[in-house]
Amino acid sequence: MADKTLDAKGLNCPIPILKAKKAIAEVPVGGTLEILATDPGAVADFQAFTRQTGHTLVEHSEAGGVYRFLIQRAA
Amino acid sequence: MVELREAFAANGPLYIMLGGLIIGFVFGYIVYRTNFCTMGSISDFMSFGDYRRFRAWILAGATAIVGTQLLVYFGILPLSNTMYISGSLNWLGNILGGFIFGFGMVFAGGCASKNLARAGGGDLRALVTLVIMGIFAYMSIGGVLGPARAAIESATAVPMAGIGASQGLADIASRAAGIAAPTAGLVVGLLIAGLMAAYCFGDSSFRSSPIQIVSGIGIGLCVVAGWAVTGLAFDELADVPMQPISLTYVRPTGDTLEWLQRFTALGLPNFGISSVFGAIVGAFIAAISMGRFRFTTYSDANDTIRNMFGAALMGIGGVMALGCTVGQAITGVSTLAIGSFVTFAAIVTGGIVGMKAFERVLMAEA
Repeated sequence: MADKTLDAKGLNCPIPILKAKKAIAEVPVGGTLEILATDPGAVADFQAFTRQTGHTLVEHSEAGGVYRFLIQRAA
Repeated sequence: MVELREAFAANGPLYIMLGGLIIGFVFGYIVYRTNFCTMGSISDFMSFGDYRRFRAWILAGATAIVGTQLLVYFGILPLSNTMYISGSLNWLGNILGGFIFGFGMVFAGGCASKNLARAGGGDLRALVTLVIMGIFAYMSIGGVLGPARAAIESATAVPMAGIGASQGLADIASRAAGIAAPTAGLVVGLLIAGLMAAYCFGDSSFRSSPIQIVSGIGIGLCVVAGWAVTGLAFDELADVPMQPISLTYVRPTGDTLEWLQRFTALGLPNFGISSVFGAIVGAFIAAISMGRFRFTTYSDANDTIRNMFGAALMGIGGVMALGCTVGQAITGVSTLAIGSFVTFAAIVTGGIVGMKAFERVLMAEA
């Protein structure tokens, strides 16, 4: 179970990233943030986001057009 | 070259239509497939310091400069017949229009091209964005906003006759150095493109991102291909010569709406219109091939307002600045027109300010 869930379904870039940036700060270090999104660009966006910020993209999956990302907060 | 030009000119409108369709298709496919996004590139570096997509945009410009100046040098593209190489510099239009466009694209989920790609992927929001942008573009050209736009332009445009035949760096360098304009353009172009490429490849994370490299070079080549087709088909002696043009998406989106309604009067679609259709279809095929095609729409009223607001700004700004993130920042830049570089800077500035404003709007809504 993630520490926090961000529902960004139906929202286009850059909204999911802007909201995720804020949401991850509200998760304890080592905790996880779950993000739900429908923008197909979100896959590349969250890969770049975690690559750059040092947070870990623990898993990402897609089901019925909904992308789910689980990000673990680094320090 | 003469035979090739004659063959093209004989069936000019047909080649231009086919060229627009094919080049637009490849462009739309690349944009969707590689997630190329000028607005997204600003979001990337502002939100988490990733400059790779921004560098892909710069690389597209560098590629387009080299290819386009080679076309000019070899006599394929009559550069002085393009809309970018004008005798006066519409600097305030470039700055204001670029800023307005850049600001608007953040609210509209991407620039004009990105919305074409989104529409191809089934995003109905993007379709509405394109329609609104097209209407506001026409309103700004000769509609209710036209007189205000024209007044700003005519009050501030600066004639370039003092330093060159036009606002093109090739013409300016040609006069300064006393060499032929095509040679001057090639030299200046290689110099500028070299600096831009050095900025891109000087970064190790960009060097290790083949997708971004392919994306930038591919989009740059699409612009070069557009110039090649419309340059070859240009016939100075035709009754109504068709100005050489390449990819640009604000006015052509408005033209597409007009063409759909007035087909019997307008006949074959021009390059811009066919490249609009091509881009949507190219993105559609890319979305299907990636298993990502899905109809999507606004999430709520706020989302609708934000997108419509951005679309209107893109239509106004794109016309004021004579182009968008592709039309000015890649295609215009490839001609080495000073106004295109000014617009590019203004779009990026507008995008940065827009991103900050957008973040505040989102926080206020939450």
